[in-house]
Amino acid sequence: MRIDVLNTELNTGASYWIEGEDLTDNEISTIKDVLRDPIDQVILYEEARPNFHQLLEVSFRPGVTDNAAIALKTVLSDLIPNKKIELATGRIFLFNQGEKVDIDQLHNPLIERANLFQFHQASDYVPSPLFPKVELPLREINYFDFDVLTVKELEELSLKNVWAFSTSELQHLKEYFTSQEVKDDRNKKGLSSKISDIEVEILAQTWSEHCKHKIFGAEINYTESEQMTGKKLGNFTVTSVFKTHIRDITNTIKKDWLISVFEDNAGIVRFGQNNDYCLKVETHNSPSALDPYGGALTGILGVNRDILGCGIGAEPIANMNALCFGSQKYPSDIVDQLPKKLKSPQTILNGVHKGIEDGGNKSGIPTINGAMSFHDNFAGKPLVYCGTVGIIPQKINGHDSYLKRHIPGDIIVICGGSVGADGIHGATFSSMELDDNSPATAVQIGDPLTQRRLTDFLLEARDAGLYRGITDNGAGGLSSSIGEMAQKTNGAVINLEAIPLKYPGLSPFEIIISESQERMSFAVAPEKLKEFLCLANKRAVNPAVIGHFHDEGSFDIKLNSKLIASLSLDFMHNSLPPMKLKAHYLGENIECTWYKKSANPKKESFESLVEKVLSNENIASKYHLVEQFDHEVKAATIHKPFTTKEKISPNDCGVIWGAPFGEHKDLGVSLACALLPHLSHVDTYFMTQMVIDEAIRNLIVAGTDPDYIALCDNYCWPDPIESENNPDGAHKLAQLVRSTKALADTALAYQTPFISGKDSMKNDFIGFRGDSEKIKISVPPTLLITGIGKVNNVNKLRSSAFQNSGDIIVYIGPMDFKKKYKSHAFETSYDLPRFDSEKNWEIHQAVYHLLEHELIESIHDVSEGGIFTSLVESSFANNLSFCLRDFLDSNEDLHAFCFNELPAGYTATIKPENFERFRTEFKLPYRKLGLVTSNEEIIINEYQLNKNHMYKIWSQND
Amino acid sequence: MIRTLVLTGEGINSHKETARAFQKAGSEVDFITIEEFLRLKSFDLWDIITFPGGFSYGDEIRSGKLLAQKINLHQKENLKKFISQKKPILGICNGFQILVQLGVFEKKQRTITLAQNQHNKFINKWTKLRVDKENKSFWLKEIDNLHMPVRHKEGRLKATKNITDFKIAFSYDEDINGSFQKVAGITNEEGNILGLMPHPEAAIDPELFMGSHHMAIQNQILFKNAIEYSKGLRNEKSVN
Repeated sequence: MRIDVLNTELNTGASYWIEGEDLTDNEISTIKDVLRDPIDQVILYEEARPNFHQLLEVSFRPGVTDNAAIALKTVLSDLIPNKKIELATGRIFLFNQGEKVDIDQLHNPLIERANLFQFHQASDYVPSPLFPKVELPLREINYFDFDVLTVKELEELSLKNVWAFSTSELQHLKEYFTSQEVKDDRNKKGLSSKISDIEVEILAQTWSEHCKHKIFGAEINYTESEQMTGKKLGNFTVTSVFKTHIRDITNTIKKDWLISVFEDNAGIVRFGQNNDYCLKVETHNSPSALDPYGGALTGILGVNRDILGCGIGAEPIANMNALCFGSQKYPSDIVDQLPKKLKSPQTILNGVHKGIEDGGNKSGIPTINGAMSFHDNFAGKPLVYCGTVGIIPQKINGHDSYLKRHIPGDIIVICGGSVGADGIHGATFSSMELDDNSPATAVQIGDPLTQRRLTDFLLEARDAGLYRGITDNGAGGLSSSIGEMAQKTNGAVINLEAIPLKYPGLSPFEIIISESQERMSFAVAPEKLKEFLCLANKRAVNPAVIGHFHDEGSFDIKLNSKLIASLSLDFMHNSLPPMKLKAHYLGENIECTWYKKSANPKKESFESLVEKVLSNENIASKYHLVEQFDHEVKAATIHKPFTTKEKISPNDCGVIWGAPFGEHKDLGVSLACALLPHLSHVDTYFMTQMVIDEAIRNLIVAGTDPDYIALCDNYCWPDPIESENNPDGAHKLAQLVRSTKALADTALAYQTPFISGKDSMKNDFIGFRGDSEKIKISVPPTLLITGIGKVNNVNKLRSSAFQNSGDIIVYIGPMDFKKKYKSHAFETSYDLPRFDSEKNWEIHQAVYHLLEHELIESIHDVSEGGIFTSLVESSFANNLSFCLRDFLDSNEDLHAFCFNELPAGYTATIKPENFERFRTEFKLPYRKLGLVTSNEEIIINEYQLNKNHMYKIWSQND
Repeated sequence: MIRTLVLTGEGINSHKETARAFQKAGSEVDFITIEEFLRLKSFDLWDIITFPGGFSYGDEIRSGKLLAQKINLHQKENLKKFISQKKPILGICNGFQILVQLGVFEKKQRTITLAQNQHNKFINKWTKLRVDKENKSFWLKEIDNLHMPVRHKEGRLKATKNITDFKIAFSYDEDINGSFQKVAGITNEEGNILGLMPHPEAAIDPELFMGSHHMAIQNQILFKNAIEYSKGLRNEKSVN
């Protein structure tokens, strides 16, 4: 049966396919009452026949998660019990005769089908009752004979099956599986000497770049060009930049509030008396390129699950995101140069934005901070960073909550969604470059409702002490989650037939590696199993007992009690030798773009530069996008993304108030981030210094205690391994090494540890322009630094917004205004400014003390768009203005002063009566610039700018 | 002590702060999951029932609709009784949507619904509310104008005829979503059921206002009013 419901005022509606045995008229009428609102909807055909001649029907492809159908089913099964009802949903759009229907804009062919019906008159339309069903051919287990297969043949298999093994890994596999020891062991266990696809696939997931981070663990030989002008590092070899430049630095810095770092799904810090806080940031770039909405939605829900699976289970309390897109403003001649089949930057932004919105809003987790970056080289692949802060009581039932405590014999239970063919090969696929044939099964749609249920259940079960270990099922599916948990007990066995499936036909390896969403794995003590399952059933989270942990050193898969696959945990996790890679740094200012850029513009007037800066995509207001994210559910967001009074000023960071979570009423936890991909082509060492510095300033302005800041590093890089297809790989790897070295050096100078991080290494798109011109778009090397900090007294919070006319405006930071301007809004090549870590750190600490002593009325960091932008943004919220006169030294340049994007700078306002105290207490470089005014005009020396006009330019997209 | 039932589960997500608001105003609070709620023998234990904000059943099909269908199936009589006893019911945001879908504001057939905002967008912004002075509901006693956040996508009130069987409680200062007469919240004719799209429970702490203590206290009065009224109801009952 098919029911189409039309919104009477919109010409759009929903389609429902309903399959049930012998539904009575009464039951059908009940269903209709559920589907149609009596006030503004009608059932098309039956209750109304609006005049239309075209109907576009969009429905999910079979097997794609259909959230509306899932929710509807739980209700219909209650209203019409004892009858099995199957459901599917879709959307309909009505059009008049001759009206243009942009089918591509209205559906995503990877996950949806679209049919356009055209007819003479509306009454000719007959809805098709065809029910979309998944029909998979039953597939058997495949076996591979490593004795016979050559490495070359294995390479072909690896490509065909999306295993993403390298040649040396295949050699390693072949050596292992053909060794007598392994053969004897398999024989003893009753396994075939041939290797099953289950085993190969498990290894492919475990060793994927996505899961194993091989590049960050590689032995890298770094050399640099003689011609370079940036900081010289010399030639050296480093084994694992992760261990050397990140983990060891945190160990050196040693803060007593670090509870768990680089161990778990997220880093854990102790900022409060009663709770600990955890932070994790993930990326979901490849999925978001293919299906922007689903990719971003699963990105948010996925990182939320990292928090749920952190320690013994934490509660997500705040989200952040950083989104990188191609420009939204390309003229048509540049759009024409984009590769075929690539989604437009607007389509990607709209989809990703909606995914972030639903992911946060529907989960009841406030989105308190974020960033957006626009750059030509994000046009091939967007970057979607999603981060979450979690909270966990320090002790639960007398145990330290950061520890998982499962032991051999504990039962493995999975809860949440069932397994389908969606999300197969996500881990391996994201470890490869995208092209126009990328597989659709890597795409999934998240289900916030199921996850919300899972969250409620998990916290209840945690507090009742019903389980001993927990982890999320993310990339690599069960093969990764159970494979990793099994390391603690030294073994696990999974019974394949016990895993709940969405539909029949999945082959065993697919069941094991599927990344189908919203599932968590629990380790339950046998004596608690009954109670655990009872609560799980009551909370409708679909529990399944799928195996147990043991200590036999292997990861085993059984089907109907027969062992069908077994791998040594030691071989899975510890056998792979580090890659050996070469990195060679070519120098600064090397950039490539995918379209022909026009020549650099000539010198412009001050007024036109001002407009150019404020309207730049990276600087202009994002309020219209951010206001759609719920940033204050939980009623604890004490510092919000924007100060909105008469107008809007952006804030640099979000702060969660501790009181609603049982902390002291003065405690806050701040969250901020920074990324500057525009600086990467200049020098990644400098870019990294600047990014850390900006993230820290964003925290400091909210009164974050500089002794209590922890950072999270997220690298998104273009392919850094040199090959025929990637001739500048060695330079990109050198850029990576320079960045991690800067990370280490700056973190040490700032005494700020890292607690968590992630890297995504193949952010390239390869496609075609016209019929034959091959074109590759690689993202700029991008580092996101996210910081979490402790705010000792939320009552001393200041925003970026100017407070009173007459307050004195100061600039605090390095004074380097002699050279010409360097704003990324109109400059692409730079001479590097000086970055003095020790001095900068002194500035940040001193600014914190000013805030502690309540000498500051408003404060904003100086970043993109320079001091001018910092001041203008601060003036908006309270509809104030400012007058700056005679603030330059004779050898300084006004443009450089206004627009330079220097490190370590702040603008702040001070009450006149506090200025004397400020002057005596503050011993570092600052400059008095002028006054806050209530005039209509902003005055900067001889220039007068209308403040309303400035606001109009800055907020033109709102 | 006055006892308030706060509904949780199945996508409801503002239950904790809603509970805090009632606790702060002096009520005991019981979290009851939807699954438990649907099986309750009676609601007699409680003085107040609250439907908090969130996304019950993922807001699928129509916000509030699916949960309303379940409640109508399992708890129609108990709810009717609770309403006829003049006990307070509060629905915030998704909770308001649920109450509208339950049809508790109208005497007979449904005349109102909550539809997608005119601009089709979810909005999170702070808004000023005017209190309708004609409405004598206990919920609004001694309340002046209010200031609190809205966070919704389907908050535009649509009415098929002129107001007959419900009363306006709050209207927005500015037109934020295309709502009928800028309505932000309504009561039933008797005044014991209040539904509103904005979130008073997210604006009871002066700290969250950045300084404007007066406004936070105004929002607290809303919850206190229900508690004071409930105390009165109890006394009445014991006198009778």
